[in-house]
Amino acid sequence: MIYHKGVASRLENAALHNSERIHIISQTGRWAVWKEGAKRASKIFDTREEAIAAARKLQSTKEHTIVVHNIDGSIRKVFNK
Amino acid sequence: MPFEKNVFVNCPFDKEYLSYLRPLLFTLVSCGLEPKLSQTKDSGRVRIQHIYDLIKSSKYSIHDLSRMKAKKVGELARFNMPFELGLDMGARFSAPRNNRLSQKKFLIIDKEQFRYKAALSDLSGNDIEVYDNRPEMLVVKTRNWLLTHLRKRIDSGTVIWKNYNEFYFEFQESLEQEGYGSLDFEEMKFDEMIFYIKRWIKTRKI
Repeated sequence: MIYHKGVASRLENAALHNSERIHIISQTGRWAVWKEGAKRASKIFDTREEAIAAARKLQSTKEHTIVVHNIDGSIRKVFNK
Repeated sequence: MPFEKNVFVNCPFDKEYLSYLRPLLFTLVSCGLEPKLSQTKDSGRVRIQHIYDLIKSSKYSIHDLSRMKAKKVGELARFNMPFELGLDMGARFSAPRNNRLSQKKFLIIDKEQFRYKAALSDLSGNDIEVYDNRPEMLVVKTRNWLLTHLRKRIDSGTVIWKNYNEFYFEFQESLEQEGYGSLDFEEMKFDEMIFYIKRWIKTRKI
């Protein structure tokens, strides 16, 4: 298998460490706020905007990066801490 | 990889379908399986022979029939997927009972319910799962189907979907840090992507 060692190494490093990001993810037609590594969503909202606002509140108490996803899991926007 | 772990994935490979194919591959790897795709590696090889070899080496198959209808006037429908489903079913039905091919399991998926009854009525009586054009639904339906056959503990579809979202971010970030552009990501061969998915999942479980 031909692969890029740098990419593999960075990816493994990322997988190994919980960076405590908050992800806004499409879930059952609604939008869920997930802390990285958590077993369940922190909260689920009807709209993505509501979910972002809730994640922003969490970000203000602790410096998390917020990753907002599209409906297919791709990245829509990132709010850095 | 052994026959019991291989999954023949019969679906479109175009850019539009990447939104479904990537999470599907992630789901299969999450369930400990090895996706097998007919994306051409060797252009000198007869494609249909390569596809049939994949069919014969895979216990499981996932056939997406969502492109059986052209999207606009003048465009032709895609017949590769129903054709390969037919090849796969032929391999199972023609195999003697004691042959492993007679144990093959199929998941047929479409984006709309009952459409196949008009286009491919011979499939009546088979289970067709519908994912409503939602990648998350495709993950959940695939995982639930696999659970009935694998008989082992696997994460819920929701957790696999959440993991896929996390993987996507970390993968894209890793690619960008190594100078990859969006075109590199878009055009990446699936074998390479599967390699990175495996690495991430294996490391995440440590």
